Amino acid sequence: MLFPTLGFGLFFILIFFGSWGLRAFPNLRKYFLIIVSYYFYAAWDWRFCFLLLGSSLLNYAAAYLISQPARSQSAKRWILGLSITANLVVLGFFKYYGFFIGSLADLLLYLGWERDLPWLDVILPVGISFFTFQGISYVVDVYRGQLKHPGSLADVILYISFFPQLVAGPIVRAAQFMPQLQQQPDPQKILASMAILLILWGLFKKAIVANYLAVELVDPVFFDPLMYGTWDIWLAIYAYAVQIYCDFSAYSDIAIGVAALLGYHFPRNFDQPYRAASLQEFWHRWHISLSTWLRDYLYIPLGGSRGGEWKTQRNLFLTMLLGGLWHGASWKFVFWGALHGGGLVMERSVRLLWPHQMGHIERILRILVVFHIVCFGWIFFRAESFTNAWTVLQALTQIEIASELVTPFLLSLCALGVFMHFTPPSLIHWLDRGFKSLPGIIQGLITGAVIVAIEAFGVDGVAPFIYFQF
Amino acid sequence: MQQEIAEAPISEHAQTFGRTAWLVLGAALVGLLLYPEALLQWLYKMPVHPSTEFMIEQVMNWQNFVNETLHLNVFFDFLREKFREFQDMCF
Repeated sequence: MLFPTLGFGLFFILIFFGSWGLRAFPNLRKYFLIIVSYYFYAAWDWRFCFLLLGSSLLNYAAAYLISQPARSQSAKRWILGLSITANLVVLGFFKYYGFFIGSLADLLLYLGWERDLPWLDVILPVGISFFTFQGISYVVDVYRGQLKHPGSLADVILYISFFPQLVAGPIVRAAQFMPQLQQQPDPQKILASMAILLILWGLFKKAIVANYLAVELVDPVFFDPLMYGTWDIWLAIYAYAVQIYCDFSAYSDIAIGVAALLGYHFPRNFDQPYRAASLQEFWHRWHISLSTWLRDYLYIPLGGSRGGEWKTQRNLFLTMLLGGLWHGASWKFVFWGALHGGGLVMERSVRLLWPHQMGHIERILRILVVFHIVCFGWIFFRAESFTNAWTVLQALTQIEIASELVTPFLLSLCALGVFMHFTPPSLIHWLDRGFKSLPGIIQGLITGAVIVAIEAFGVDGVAPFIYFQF
Repeated sequence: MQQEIAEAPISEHAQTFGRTAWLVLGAALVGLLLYPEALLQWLYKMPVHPSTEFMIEQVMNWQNFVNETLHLNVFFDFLREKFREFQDMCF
């Protein structure tokens, strides 16, 4: 079930009234939200509901055992280690089995020791990377004492399966979400106008900007780069930067908005990432819930910045390398992670060697440089393979002026995406003030009309969000 | 935009359940009444059953009514045509 569909719209209306109707019965409300979340997940493949439930039970059992005060610290560490290993084994099997076997087969072939390896057709469960990371953060938070109480089993099942963030984030921390389950949401204080604006904003970004850029520009160019001229290739690369931002941030917008309408608060996931003047700043603005997760549960446990400059840089690089692999079981994602990791290491070295205050001109130049490094990385992220990425890079250097894809429509879409990325907060406050001052029914009529317009002018069919594959 | 909601002071931006319920109902009503095509597409994906067929028939009747009396299809077709013209424009 995808967000920008009528099926989801009807599903959400039932949940909205059902969950607020059960507000006076907190436990029933939780069970209701669990059932609808599992129904949402079952819409992809009901068999993986057992995996989701298994993950919740595993993490709850580990957290429960860790939270027992009588248990020794070393026993707690063992339980933590076992639960993280179990989580990673499940993730590794479903997501990386084919990749590792394929890479091993290639290596053996290269060495001249060709063997029949046990191939399995493993289907990737939607959202497994997201709910596995949420499960790990929950157990670690209990171990670290950041979550004073492990919560009830129902709390944990709901935390891991809550439908707005289940398949593509944001990666909500247990310490952020589970305390909200202990309080009754206040029906007098729903952030409705902001939530609706955010949902409409997200729908427009996804259904109009991201989908049209994908279908009419990015997909054809990456499918056969040599068919197109230099301007088309350049535009497709910039357009992909806009597309992936509009696609992924749209999912987060809708997830945050839907959760807010149900009375829950999710952290933000994007903050104008292409304004970054360094790669470090980029990762403070792009997929914030993942980058902070990697910092807290990978970089810091690896040693963080303790242990000298060499170890800090090693930890930084390893974190980004594994962050790249998290995105997908492919060497191109490993390369993408290594590119960002290498960039962060270089940035840090330059900062240490040449500490200085950045001026306005330098900041603008750096923003441009960082944006182009990020775009270079996106080529590998988007391409089907290394060969495909290499062909795109080769096509960039050819001098072929003729262009068939640089049209007013596609340029306008890119400009619109950039405008939405740089939208000033004052405009949003102005929109919110105006919208909030209207009676509820008028708000509804406007919302409905905008949804109808987006549906009517969107690309035919429903394109899944890019981050679903992760 | 996400920052606005993630860091919004609740007292300034919140509204009541009553208003929000009207908002949700109003949006659903407009969506279903003005754009029955989406509902029809959704119904086509439902399992074959007499009740589904009945619903499809009702929605088609509604769609015809909307098109014949309100001429919304003419309005949408006009806008779509202009949109497609813009899409096909070249330098």
